[in-house]
Amino acid sequence: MKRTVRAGLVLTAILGTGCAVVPARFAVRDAAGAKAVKRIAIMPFFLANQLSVDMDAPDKAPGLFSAGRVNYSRMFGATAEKVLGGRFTFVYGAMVEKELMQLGHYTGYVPEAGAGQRTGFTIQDAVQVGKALGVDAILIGAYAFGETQQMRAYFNEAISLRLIDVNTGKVLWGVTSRQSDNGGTVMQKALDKILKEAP
Amino acid sequence: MRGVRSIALVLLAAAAAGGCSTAGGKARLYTENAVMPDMVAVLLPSNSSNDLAAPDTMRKCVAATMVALGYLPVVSTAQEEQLRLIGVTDGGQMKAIKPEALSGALGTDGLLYTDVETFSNINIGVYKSRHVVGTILLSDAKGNKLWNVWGEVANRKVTNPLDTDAIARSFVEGMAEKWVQKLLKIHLLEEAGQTAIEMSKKTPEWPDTPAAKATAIRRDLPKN
Repeated sequence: MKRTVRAGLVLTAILGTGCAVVPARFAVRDAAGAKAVKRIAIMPFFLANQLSVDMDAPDKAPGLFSAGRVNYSRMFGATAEKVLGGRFTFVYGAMVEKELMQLGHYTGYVPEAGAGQRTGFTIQDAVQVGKALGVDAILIGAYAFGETQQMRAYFNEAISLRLIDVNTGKVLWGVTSRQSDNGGTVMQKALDKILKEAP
Repeated sequence: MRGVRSIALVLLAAAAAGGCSTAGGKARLYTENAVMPDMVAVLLPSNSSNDLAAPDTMRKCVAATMVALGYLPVVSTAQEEQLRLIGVTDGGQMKAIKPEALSGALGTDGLLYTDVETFSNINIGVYKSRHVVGTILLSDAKGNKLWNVWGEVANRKVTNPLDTDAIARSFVEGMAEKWVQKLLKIHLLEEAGQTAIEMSKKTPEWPDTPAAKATAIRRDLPKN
């Protein structure tokens, strides 16, 4: 009886603080194609809140808003190597960015442009970069965070990823993860899901 | 008699003074059990408001909540450049362009159209209102509509009309807040974010909508 009361109190406390654990979700579009994938290039993530894509603005970056900026795709790449390294080989960061720059759309970080600068690439660019790097597939990602109080009540951070075959340009699988609590990270949840469910 | 009228006026003023918020969202599904697109281009919003900052603010809030709903929003300077190549520089032009041309240029299987209907910050001291209304529509690459969601948030505050000091304070505070927020490009961001969340609560998710939410969306649909 005591245990039931205690469990009830814990549940009430969890619901009362608005904490909600949303499980990561995975969808397979082409299982046969996905099975053949060994080498993956991770593209800089689309940063939804900034209408831009990830760019490397290291400690050198001046200004209040750009210093200490997190590069989510590089962070994801490093974690993916640890979690999925036995299964896939990843290419990410400077190598991918260099190839993207050669296509012209992606500028990377330009110190003269100052804070608030944006950059980007098209899906066609990403496929072309994948081919140039000799990978089987590219991973396109989008990252978002709850920017206002109301948004944070719904989600703290969220990530969506799609694996695309560089030969066909078709999506092989996708994964998404969102959290409105402070436990764990969306990246870790997404990687665990890939580890368990990727064909 | 005069005393009674004064008391009635004070009571009325006291009742009117204070704040109120309204928020809501509604969805319309065009196809039941449709496969949701894997990559969605978040197109330049059409702006029916008088605020030039409205499209960018709404677009980033909508794009962020799309990630939370499981979608992959494709939005960056490269997409804007691609649109410029086919002659699109303004959100108002979007509906005049064939969806196949848009999805072909952007390489996505979904197109998200946003319309900012209201984006207003009214401040006359005695009355302040921050009001955002928007709609989003998702179609597939061929232009077949999948869903359409409407959202609204209004935060209103009325100051006691008999308290002139409070009215002056409210006016100055409101003006300063507006000026600073415009400078930092976060003007009405709170309301735009809240509107995007109100819409999200009624938006079908990728890859599929949780059963409870799907039931709630269906319950909201107009009866034929």
